[in-house]
Amino acid sequence: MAALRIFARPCFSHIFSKTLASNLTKNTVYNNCKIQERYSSFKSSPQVGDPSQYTDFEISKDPQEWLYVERLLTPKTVPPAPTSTAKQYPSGWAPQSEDALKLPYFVSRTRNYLQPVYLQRSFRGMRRITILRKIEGDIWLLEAELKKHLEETTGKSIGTQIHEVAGILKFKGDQVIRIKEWLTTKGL
Amino acid sequence: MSGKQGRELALSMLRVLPRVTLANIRDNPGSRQTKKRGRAQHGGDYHGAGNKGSGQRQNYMRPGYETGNNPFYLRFGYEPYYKGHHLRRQYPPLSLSKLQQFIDTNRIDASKPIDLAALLNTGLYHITPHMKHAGVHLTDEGADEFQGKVNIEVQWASEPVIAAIERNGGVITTTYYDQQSLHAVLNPRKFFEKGEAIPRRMLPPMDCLEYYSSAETRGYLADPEKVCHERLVLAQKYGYNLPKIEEDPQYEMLSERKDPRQIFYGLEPGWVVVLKDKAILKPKADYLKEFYQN
Amino acid sequence: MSFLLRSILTKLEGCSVGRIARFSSLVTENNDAIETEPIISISEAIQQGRFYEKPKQVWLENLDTIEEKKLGLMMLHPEVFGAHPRIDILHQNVRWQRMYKFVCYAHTKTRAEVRGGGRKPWQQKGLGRARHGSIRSPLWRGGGVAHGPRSPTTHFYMLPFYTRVLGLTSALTVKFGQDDLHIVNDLEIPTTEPGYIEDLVYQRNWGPSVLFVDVPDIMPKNITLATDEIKHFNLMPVYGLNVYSMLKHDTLVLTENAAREIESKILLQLNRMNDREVTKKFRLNQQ
Repeated sequence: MAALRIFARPCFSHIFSKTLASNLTKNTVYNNCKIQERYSSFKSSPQVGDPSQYTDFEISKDPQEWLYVERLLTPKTVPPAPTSTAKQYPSGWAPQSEDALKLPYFVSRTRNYLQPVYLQRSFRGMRRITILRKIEGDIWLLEAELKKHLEETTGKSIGTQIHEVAGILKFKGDQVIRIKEWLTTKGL
Repeated sequence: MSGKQGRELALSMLRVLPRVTLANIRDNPGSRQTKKRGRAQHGGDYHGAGNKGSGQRQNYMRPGYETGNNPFYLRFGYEPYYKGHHLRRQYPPLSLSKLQQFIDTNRIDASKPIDLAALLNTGLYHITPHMKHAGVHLTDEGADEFQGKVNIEVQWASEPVIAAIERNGGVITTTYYDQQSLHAVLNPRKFFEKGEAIPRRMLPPMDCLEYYSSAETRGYLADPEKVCHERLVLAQKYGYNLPKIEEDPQYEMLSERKDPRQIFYGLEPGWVVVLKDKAILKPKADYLKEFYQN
Repeated sequence: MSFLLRSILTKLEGCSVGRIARFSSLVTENNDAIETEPIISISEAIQQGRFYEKPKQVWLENLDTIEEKKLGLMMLHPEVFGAHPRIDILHQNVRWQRMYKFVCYAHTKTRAEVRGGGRKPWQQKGLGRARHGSIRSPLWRGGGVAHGPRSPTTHFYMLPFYTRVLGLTSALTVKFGQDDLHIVNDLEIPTTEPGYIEDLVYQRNWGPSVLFVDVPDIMPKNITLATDEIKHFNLMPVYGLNVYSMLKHDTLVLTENAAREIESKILLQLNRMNDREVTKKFRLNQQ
């Protein structure tokens, strides 16, 4: 089995080119003064001998089999999500609509195509602040509209904070679901 | 508020402002607090340790010590149901609603069998095997909305989850992964680059052998005929018509199963995957074949 | 106050049109000019993306003549070259770049390290003098220093991964937004004379210091020799591009390939699948 393991390592190829005899002499020279052996070390691990003494193997380059390997290899970037807004998605997720680009404000999606709304809990859960990120365009108008909507639905006045430079809006209390629903109705 | 806003405003301001250089940038006011000691006569009197008592002597008390009270953690008797909690296997949860979201946003291909490797490959579900995590626990949150027809392999599932998947014509199997197999599944690319042979999956230990060999929990060691029977029983219990998989156009995908010794779909234990040459090395010796099969 | 600032800036913006017009090279009537097809450079990421902010456009210029020729137009990704210009993030990046390699060697001796002072200088009582136990106490002239600097003090820290990425996009945006970003087709110049590149920079009003960026780290021979002796013209491969150097130089000159390479590299980081892995190494909680 070791041979299979070793042939797969590209770094081992140079070892095959060396003759076995030279390796043996090296070992005999240093054997006497060896005081410790670290099996976990790359250098002190046993050297490869004659390939014939290891198990035989066949090399398969079947593309059908390779498909199973490719399935396991993660892509580097996030795969693109569907863009059709006509379709209903069972999870409640919906892509951003084309019309949303015409609004005076815009909230871009995260890399995972989700709405950037988060709940921040502090003081052992006593202070809850909802954060809406990745805002572009007229953040003041977005804040006014969203605040009006939240105050109507909750019946309470809601404190907000605007960070225009970073494009962040903060709302007092846990408003995550309400904000997500409102964004969805706007097509954002 | 009218006119330009946000990024557009910032960019138009940049056009008329002097060039941004190393000399004229600064952080937001108040963003950095420097904790400095006073430099005058009494600046370092107590070396930062304060005056009097525990703080001055810097004898930090052990966690839970209540300065002489009978500590809270010793006030009550021993509760044996936590015994060996640090040795028990854990199954980090994944809800059906999350799974549906993965399918909707193209993170998981439902037209292929879903196993732990596929879930970890999304990058949105994580396990840490050295923390005794032994795989995925599929939970029933979002069971009513779940509509995916999937062939899924999980490590733990409850009855409503099994019902939610089989109602849509899907198939669920519960399987066991040992520690070594989990490390291979965690990052297959890294594992293949090591050049090691794919290990064989170990059989479940005694404490969960019953779970993985019973048909009610769709264990992978259960008798397939009994599983078929249990599918019908569950359909009657939850009151849905069990779709026939045999007549399904995706029958081939739905009937795909792994061998109890197999970790990855389509790749047998004992094989070595060489990513560089796009080749698979298979051992020829009989004793190795026998070893990896049993 | 901010309203006032905004209105002033918008007015200023109107004034600056004349200044820009003065430096823009208008097409002169030249019969000798060879008609060439203008290059329109666009990348796949820009074609496929849906943006609120439109893709940025920049002229594609040349370096092989002293007077500027516009070879075509290049589309730039708005998330890389049109991100929000965060001055605070730029500052954090610059501070980090200055600090992480800085080791402070300022050193003072404590009372224990100063030579001598083991003996009690005089008895505790009976002399009418202040009590002292050592002639090297910090109170004494020639004594040790209390709470002085100790060498070596490292100032290494790591900026969060995505703050570093945001620093790069902010710096590129600032350079683009202030017309200090120029895209050229390649870094080939006809001579090895330093005078040529000095003339070129003067003619095109590129400011005293210029940073030329190309993809490979082996640059064309002519520009290497021409800029070798001039300390404010520097060459840099894409993999070395950083916030500090961009802000240090007045003008940033990218080749077309370099701009695309930067774009793809930053987009990979902004959309990468395993972002946990890149941020994990520098996380404080390694559990």
